[in-house]
Amino acid sequence: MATMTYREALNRAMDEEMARDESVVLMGEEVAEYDGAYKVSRGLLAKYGDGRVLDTPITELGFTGLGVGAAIAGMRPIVEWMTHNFALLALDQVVNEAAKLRHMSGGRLSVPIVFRGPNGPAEYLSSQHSQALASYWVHVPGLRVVSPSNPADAYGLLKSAIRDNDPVVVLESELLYGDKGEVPDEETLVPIGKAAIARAGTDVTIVAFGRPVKYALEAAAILEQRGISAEVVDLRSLRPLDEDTIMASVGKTGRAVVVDESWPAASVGAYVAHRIASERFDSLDAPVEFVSSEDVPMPYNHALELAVQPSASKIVAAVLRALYLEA
Amino acid sequence: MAISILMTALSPTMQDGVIAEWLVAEGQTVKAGDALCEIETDKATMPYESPRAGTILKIIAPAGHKAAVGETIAVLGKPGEDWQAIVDKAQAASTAAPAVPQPPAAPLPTLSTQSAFPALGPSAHPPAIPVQVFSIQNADPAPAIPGTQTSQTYTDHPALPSGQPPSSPLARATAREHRLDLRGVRGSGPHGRVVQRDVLAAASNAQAAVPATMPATHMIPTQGSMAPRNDAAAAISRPARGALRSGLRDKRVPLSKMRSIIAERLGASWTQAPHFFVRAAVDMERLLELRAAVNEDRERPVSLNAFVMRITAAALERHPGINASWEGDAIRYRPAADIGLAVALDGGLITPVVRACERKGVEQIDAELADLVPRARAGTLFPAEYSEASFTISNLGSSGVEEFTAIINPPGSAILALGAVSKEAVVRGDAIVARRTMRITLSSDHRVIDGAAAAAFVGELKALLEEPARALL
Repeated sequence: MATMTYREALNRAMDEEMARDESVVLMGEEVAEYDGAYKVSRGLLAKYGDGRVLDTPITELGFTGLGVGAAIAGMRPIVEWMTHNFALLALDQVVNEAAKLRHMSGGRLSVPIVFRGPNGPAEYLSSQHSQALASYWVHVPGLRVVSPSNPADAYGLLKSAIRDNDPVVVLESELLYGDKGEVPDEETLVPIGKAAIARAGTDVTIVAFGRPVKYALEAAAILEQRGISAEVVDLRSLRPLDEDTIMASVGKTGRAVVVDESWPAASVGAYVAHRIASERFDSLDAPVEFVSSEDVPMPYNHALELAVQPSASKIVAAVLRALYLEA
Repeated sequence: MAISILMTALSPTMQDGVIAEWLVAEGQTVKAGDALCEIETDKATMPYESPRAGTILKIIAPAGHKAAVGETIAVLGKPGEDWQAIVDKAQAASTAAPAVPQPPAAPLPTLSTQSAFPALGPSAHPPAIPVQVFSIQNADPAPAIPGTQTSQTYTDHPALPSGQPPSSPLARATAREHRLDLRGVRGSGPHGRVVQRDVLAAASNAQAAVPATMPATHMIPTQGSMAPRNDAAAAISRPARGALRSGLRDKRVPLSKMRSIIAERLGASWTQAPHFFVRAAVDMERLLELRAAVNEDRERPVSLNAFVMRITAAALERHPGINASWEGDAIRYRPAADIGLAVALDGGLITPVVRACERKGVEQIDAELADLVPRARAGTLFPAEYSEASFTISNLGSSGVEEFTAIINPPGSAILALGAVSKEAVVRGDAIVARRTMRITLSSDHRVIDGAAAAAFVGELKALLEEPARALL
């Protein structure tokens, strides 16, 4: 096992897939000459040339559409969005084209494309550049959506995404890019649609995805000191959702806390909480607790910026409520 | 932050309660859940548990005082806090009579029992059971973010009409597993919600309690108490000797709440309901053999009462006119055989009710009795557990009485009195044989039930008890 950063793990996935399959190309703002705004594509231009690693104009709708067209024509493009905040401009190509063409062509067209980039808050980026937009993609049938929380999953899920014959949106995180973790030396694919038990436990299930998985694990460690055994389910894939793993865990623990760094309304976390309440009604000892960001545009003030987001202590408090142990 | 401890409604109709006894003194430190005082309601005396930890700053309502629901009976807080201010504030809040909900923007200085439902419109009736039984002074307002969803809280939790406490689905599943009636379980969750830990605790208590209380049974023969007459006669002589020696004293005992309720209700029943009595002698051989067969491999034997209740329910199904209530201008036929069983207590009696016996198996009825009867003796039944019986059974068999008549327990219109099972010489064919026999007496309210109907019911009941297999049909 090699230890590498989340950024290097993504880079390795793209490198291996580009070496394996000539139809894989990378396009986006500053992905080539500048090695990527967050250096995820470092070295790929030098290795694969400007025919396969392409700098695009600052026009998300344009180059996303270019990618969709190339995918229909037989390429396997990776479209890097500098952040998901900017991908809002490309919504039409993703939602109306990429997600619909297999269905509307009666299965004659497929769109094997990856849309990837950092999602969710970083720091000091204020309201327009700190958004957690998972719901925008998870809402849409025809897309797959993954959200790796660690380097090994970033590597394995991105490889699976590139090989998938349908459009896959990858939700990365700027604040995870520098995180280190063990990644298998041998080539490994993490299947899309399978959640992971990030930590086993018996008293309560904490469901999270992406960066908040770290907080969930921190919370579980704090809870352990209080004698509470928390199981952490890392969703990894948001669409399709691995309900079997979630329901098995909640069926076992009888209590659920769902964590989502996006706003509460119409969020992935709200949907997961609803599914748990429906499918595991008879197993629940307490209402499903939900820890999300506050329902406000992101404040610039750093103290407030941190205060509105999920945190380990908020998750601990939610677990204590679910266990009726709150002071 | 001192809080008022308010008199709380322990039944849907309770308007006031008497403080039977204070279990704590001023200045004493208490934990959440510690019993502060005993409150006498219609029938049960229930402990009042402290809603939180603190020091008893002041006892406002002394023992013996009758306090209206919502009245401050004590103040809890930190030593040195000003209890007078809390009392004044609580009084001001209750006299303000907040019929119109307070504007949501205002801070919530006092959540009295009435203002605990700010979400209800002005025309809405306040729920019968106040959810908030203590008021919170100077509650820290949550840091609200305007126009956001997460800061919303929902405070209206109307009481459930059945008196059944709210419970989590897992608690209900666990209760089913342990054959436990949730109505008897006290919830520790928010708004009295019964959660899993409450059920598990109740289940382990019930398990511990059942064998221990069995021998103490005297009105409810459960185990071997349907004994032949000579055993029962011995049972009579035992308490009598000890009791007489210390029993004769000249003293005047003021009525307990329970005593006065019994006096009032049974007095009214006896004088208002024209009682008449129909008797029968029941050959119990078949039923006792059936019970013995059922109990052969059981750790805890199924009580004879459970069998009798189940068979009585079958008879009531065939004679719905017996399962009815007099309502002055109408007779209400009851949709289920909710059978009460009289349980003797020190200084009174109470009739826990097994609901819908016609839909339950003997085993389930027995399990419910095993839960209800010990709690009936302990005085911890909830009002919903001892009210609204559609029919009642009183069993003095274990005291050895041959037969007796009972006074109808309203709102039912009939009560069945069971005597002891004893061997009698009976004629079968042309032979005289010894058969175990039980005398039963049905008291009926003639306003509801006529003689022929009572006779038909008793005949049916006798036939079913003598040939229990017929009850299965």
